[in-house]
Amino acid sequence: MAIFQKAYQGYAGPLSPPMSRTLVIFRYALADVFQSRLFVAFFFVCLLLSVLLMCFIYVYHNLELLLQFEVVPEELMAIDGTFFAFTMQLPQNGLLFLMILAIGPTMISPDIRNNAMPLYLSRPINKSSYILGKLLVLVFLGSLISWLPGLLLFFLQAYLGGGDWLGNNLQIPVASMATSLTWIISLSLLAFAVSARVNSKAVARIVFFGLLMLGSILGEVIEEVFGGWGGYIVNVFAALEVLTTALYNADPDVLGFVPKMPVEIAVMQFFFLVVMTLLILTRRIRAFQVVS
Amino acid sequence: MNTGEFVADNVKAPMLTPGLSLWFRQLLAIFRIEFGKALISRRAFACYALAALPVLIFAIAAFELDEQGEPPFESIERARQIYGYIFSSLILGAVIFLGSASIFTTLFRGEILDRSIHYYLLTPVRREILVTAKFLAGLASAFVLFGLCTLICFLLLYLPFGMEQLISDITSGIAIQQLGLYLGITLLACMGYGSVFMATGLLFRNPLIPIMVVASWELIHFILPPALKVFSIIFYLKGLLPIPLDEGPLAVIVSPPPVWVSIVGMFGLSIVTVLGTIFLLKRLEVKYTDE
Repeated sequence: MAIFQKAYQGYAGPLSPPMSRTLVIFRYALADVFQSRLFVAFFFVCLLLSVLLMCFIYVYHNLELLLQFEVVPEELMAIDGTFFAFTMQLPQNGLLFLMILAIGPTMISPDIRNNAMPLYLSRPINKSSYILGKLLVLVFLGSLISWLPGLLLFFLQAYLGGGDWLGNNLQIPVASMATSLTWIISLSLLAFAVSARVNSKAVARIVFFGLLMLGSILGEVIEEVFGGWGGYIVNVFAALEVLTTALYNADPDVLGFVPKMPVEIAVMQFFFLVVMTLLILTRRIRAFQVVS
Repeated sequence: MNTGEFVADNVKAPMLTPGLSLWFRQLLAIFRIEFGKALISRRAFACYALAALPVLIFAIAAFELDEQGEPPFESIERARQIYGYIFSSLILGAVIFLGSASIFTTLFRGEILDRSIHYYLLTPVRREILVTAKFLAGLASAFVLFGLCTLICFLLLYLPFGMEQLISDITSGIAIQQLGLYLGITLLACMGYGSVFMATGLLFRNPLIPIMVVASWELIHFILPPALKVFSIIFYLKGLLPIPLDEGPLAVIVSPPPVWVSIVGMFGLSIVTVLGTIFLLKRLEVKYTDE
């Protein structure tokens, strides 16, 4: 063969399936997350909530134990959607926020800062695979501390409660999954968008925290000055409370302060947040970078 | 000594004789650099955006109608109450807090992240001068930004009522007294939060942790027992507000501290934390690879 014919030729062999390429990013990002011992400790502390609730449900249905603790069973709160929303979903939302605050804003910025994007995207990985791979880490870890233990608790209660409890409360597993996944995905994408805009991990975390804190306070102030629910549009926590209450069919008086905002608006809020963050991410994640 | 030697000595050490004059010149030089960096840089954009938020709300509230079709500023008394609420919750609780966190954390932690702190540490400047100059520059820039925000919002309050009301309030002294108090609180808040965030910026590698801890503590201060309330900055600042605010049914009511206690408390906190920062900076060993 003539030497001029030995030029560069792209790989023409078989490619691995697209999902397995995405899972490579997921695997490495997951390994990075678990390098922090502090995060590992936090993660296991998050699981304690479900263990405590499991013990509570067991004791709730154990008459002998209740009598030993001198508790009258009739005085206990009924286990229904309100119970699951109040004791499980609301604390889990807080834990998910802390988890995403700890790892979300640090996932994209190192790749952009160190000019690694061209290396990723020159392989058969596109922007959506990259974002999905990173997102799967937070969805996986978030699911482990939110709706997966929620399902376990639901089936435990259904088994111990017996009768028609399962049939009467079928909205609970759907609500747990929908609320947790909505919260995880929207917060994670927001964290990624911040991470893609800010080069430093520390600053990205502060910006993410500041954005949510500011939105929350700003929403309260707008509601106080102008009245109505318009102010809650910038408060993502208010949208989450509305969504949780609606999906669990929970009693708003028991849950405390729930904004009187239509659930459709709350859904639109999350949708808008996701679209905006995806737009920012697709603009920032590029196969070429200007190295200064 | 001949003339040549005398000139050579001055060239080697130009006006570096230790003393107040030198320290003051060094302080001014660092102040100028840091003040410029705090107000005119890409990082300062976030603070400008923060400061613009209350101004935007007041500008809208001056012309908008609420859900009952009434203007939110239906009377000047109501407008003053709304101003007090927005000042304590938004300006004090979010804008000054987050703005101070951004400005003062950047003073040292930002330099370490930018890998430029060694330029300061290699100059023949006492660490005390460096910390004081940086703190004063941060304080001045924060006060210029957030003081201006407070002032503009206060003036926007009078927009629906016209110049007559403003002149009447100025001549009767109400406007001057209230504006003075709000600006004073702004200065004390920048001082208190700023000194804390400057110290924590040097103490913690991840500045989010102290910011979150302080934010949570300030957020729950209203339900804290009186013995713990004294350890929050907002307790002293809210005591100075010209219009006392209702903090909700869960609030633990205590009498606000005397004005002099609030002022001395903020100055004391600033001095202690600045001294702490000097102590930390004297023992600072920069390893950029660890960041």
